[in-house]
Amino acid sequence: MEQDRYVELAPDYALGLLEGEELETFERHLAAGCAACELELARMDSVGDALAYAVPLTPAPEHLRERVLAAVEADLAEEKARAKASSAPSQAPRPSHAPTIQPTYEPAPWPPPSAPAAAPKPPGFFSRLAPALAFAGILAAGLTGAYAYKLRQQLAYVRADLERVQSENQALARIMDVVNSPKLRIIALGGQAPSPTSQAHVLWSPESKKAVFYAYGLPAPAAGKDYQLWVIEGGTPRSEGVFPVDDQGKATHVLPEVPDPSAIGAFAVTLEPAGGVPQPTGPMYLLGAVSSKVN
Amino acid sequence: MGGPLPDAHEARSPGPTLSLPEDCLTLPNARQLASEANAFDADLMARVRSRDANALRALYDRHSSVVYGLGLKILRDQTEAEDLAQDVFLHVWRRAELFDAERGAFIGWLVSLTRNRAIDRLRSQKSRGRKTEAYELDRQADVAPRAQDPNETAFAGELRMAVAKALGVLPDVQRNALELAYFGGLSHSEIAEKLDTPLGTVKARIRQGMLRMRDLLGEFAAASVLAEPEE
Repeated sequence: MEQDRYVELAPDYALGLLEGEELETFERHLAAGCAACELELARMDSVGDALAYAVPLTPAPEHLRERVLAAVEADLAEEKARAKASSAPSQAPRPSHAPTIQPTYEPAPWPPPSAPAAAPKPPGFFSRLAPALAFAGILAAGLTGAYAYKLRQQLAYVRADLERVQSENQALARIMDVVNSPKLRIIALGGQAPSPTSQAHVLWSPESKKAVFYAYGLPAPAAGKDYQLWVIEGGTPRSEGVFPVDDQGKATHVLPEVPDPSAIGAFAVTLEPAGGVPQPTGPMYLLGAVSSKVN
Repeated sequence: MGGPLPDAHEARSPGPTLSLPEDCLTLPNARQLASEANAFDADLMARVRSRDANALRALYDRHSSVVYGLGLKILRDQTEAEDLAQDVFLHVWRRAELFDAERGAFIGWLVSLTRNRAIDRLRSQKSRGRKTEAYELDRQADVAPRAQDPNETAFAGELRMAVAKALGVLPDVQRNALELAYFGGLSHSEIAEKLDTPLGTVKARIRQGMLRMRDLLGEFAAASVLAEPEE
């Protein structure tokens, strides 16, 4: 596509009208670094933002203000409560809805994981783009264009999340089954050499035989790679599938059939070729031994 | 942290009203108004990041009309618009780190966020088979009587006037296409069908409309996105 043709697409992109191949082509063009398109996109974004002011002044209803502020206060209170709870690591974590749950917390193997907040963040889109922009010498204009691009990326994540959430209502119900189990067991996995600050938990419900795996602080896998979860029984690894990691380094994976973790020696996560492999070949990122002690 | 509630009002600059020639809609102190508004918002966002709920309240007071109004225009339902506004401001509260004052004005970030989420809601309603009112272009008679929001920024008021004038200058065909694109969440082909116009013509009109708006809005367009005035 000629350069002029790319620049023509900027208004459509700003309005979210590009689709399919045209959208992909334009985004790839932006990612490769194009000062003219960045600038045009910044201009078009600003027109788009201004169009919001084409709406005559419509004050929000008063009760909405109360709702929003109350929601923020509730959020703040929850944050503080969570911060307090996590500052006492020797305490077993308790789900907030079921005070009668007594989970077994099994400490992770060496090295002890540090708080998730210390996990290395995967390089953001903007920091990858910044060197190209600097060299192009259009940092001022490029910043706003790249920012708009980043918003579009985030919009793509939000849309993907929306689709995923809509199709995973069942998975959510399964997760709640596990978490509400009175005899919940929690097995901790510690980060290994490639990522010592990663950590994970497997929450297992003896009643339903289901488990949920949560990981934190996992670095984004390289292109063409996936993280794969393994259950190690009698020394033999069995695959529980691959799972994606979000841009916060978090992952969730539901394990539908785990009869008894006492039969399991350990849970592990390795980095494998995309789609996974029958037996582990790649580096191990997380490992958690299951103790033989039962509740 | 947190101190006394910041004053959400700004002194209104006694600038001239927009009586310049139609093809030159600039306000001499537009940049200054925008710059002041942006700086104040950026300051409030820094406080939000430090978990100052008062700062979020001030941002709500300053911008709730825009967020709610935009949501209502896109979703055509008061309950949905309220849910959206709550969604947006909670997102601002929870993900304050996503906003970087170096990269653009808060209002640009907020408006994009609002529109994107509104259109997502609209599309997910459609895909769930919920009946939504078909988007109808605004007719002059439907414009609401003059409303007031004393908490709004001076910049917002001036920008609203400038945008209304600019849209008035645009040819009807361009304005209608832009309106369907921006507020209707419709695709090119859906717009073409709605306007009973060939696809190529619709694409051209949208592009022309956007470019013309950029020219007409001049300094307002530049100021609404950039955190600092250009040299």
